[in-house]
Amino acid sequence: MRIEQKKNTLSWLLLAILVWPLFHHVAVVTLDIDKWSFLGFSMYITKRPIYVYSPQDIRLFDNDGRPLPVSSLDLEQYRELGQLIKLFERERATYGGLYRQDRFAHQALAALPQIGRFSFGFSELRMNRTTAVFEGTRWLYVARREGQGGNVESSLQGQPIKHAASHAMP
Amino acid sequence: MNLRLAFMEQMFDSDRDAVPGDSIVRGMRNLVTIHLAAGHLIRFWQPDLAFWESQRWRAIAMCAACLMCIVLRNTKWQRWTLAVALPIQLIQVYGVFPMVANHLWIETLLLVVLLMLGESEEENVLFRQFACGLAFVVFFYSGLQKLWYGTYFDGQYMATKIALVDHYYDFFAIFIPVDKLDALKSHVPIQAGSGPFRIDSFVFIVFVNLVWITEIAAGVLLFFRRTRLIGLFFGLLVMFGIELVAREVFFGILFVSMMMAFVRFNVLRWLTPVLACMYAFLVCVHFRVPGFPEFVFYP
Repeated sequence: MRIEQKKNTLSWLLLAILVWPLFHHVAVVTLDIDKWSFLGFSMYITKRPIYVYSPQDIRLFDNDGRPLPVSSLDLEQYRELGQLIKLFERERATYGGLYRQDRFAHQALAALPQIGRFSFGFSELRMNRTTAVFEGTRWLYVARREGQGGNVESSLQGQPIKHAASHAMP
Repeated sequence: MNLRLAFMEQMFDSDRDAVPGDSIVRGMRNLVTIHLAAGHLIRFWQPDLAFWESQRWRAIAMCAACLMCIVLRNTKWQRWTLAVALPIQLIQVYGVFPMVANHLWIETLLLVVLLMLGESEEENVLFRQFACGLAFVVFFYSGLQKLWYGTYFDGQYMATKIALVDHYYDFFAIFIPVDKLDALKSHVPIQAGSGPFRIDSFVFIVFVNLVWITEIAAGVLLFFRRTRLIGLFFGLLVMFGIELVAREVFFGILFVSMMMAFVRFNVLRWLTPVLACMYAFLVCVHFRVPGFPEFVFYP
């Protein structure tokens, strides 16, 4: 590579680094992506959302809609579901509005062939910048198989936590 | 001259600031590989696990690249030792992507750029222009984003850190009454309704707001040639202050070395051995080698 080409490459690289924080800021504000990720310069500004892993209230239903106890999963499936839920929470916090929750439903239902529908709850704590108080949201995630074609459907609904008890950070 | 090149020239003037016989590229190659080797040792040397279960090979490979880089420091082969280090570093980036904070990106970018550049005088100038531009961006935007989000105005973010992290508590206990800090600790464990994370102290508010003000100021002072020397001293002071509190010492050392690109002589020639000793010291602290003190820091 000649010196002019190197100079050009580095200047483009530097320009990209110079303007990227502006785009990153817009993405954080509009899409709620993680401030610490994607070459973010917004580190040390807010605490990442806190996820409360327990209790998760996992509920399982077979392909005919009958409830199944969590103990019906074998150890491997139980471990995989737990890991997938943690990954879901992490990716959701990272990608914000860009996160596709159906992908998690596909992964989880592929790991649990005997399950037709499942749901779990989790709590998320975020600091309110104005009041400096942590506010919580209780989320309920539901995923189900749709028809025979391997389609899945998922939904996520949240409600503000009114009572603080039993939602402490582990 | 287009804007891109003008920005590079603004950060380091190739006509007026060029250093005769410059060897910053060689010096930074040594320093970056020492930084990466020490970081990989701390992150991936897991003595509790069997070799095949651990990630020790990554630390070994990075240390090998670092040793080769130092041994070959005066030869044309030094550059290619970075080609050994780069894939190992990219594995690390891939492993955490997209949760890649700017510290990891910056060390990776430096590695790529140092691999791209040769040792000629022009390429040394190019490296200085890039490193100076990067230092400006880091300072300026770190401060600007804190201003944008506004969680430093009342000290909300720092108050959370004090409540959750002991070394933040210890630092602020030097000049804030302990009962005020203990009041923050009483909000932990954090739950819905915890807070407010604020401290009713003028000194605290001033200190916390100085973080973003000084970061922006350091960036601006470094941008202009006339104020660069003050900017450099100011920037080093800001870095020292940040490291006292946040203790991200590894990045601090790398960033200070990068800032040496502003200095018009080869500081790294004598600074590298000192910084290498600091990395070695920190590695010994991490592995709790007998005789070394115990304190918290982040690689």
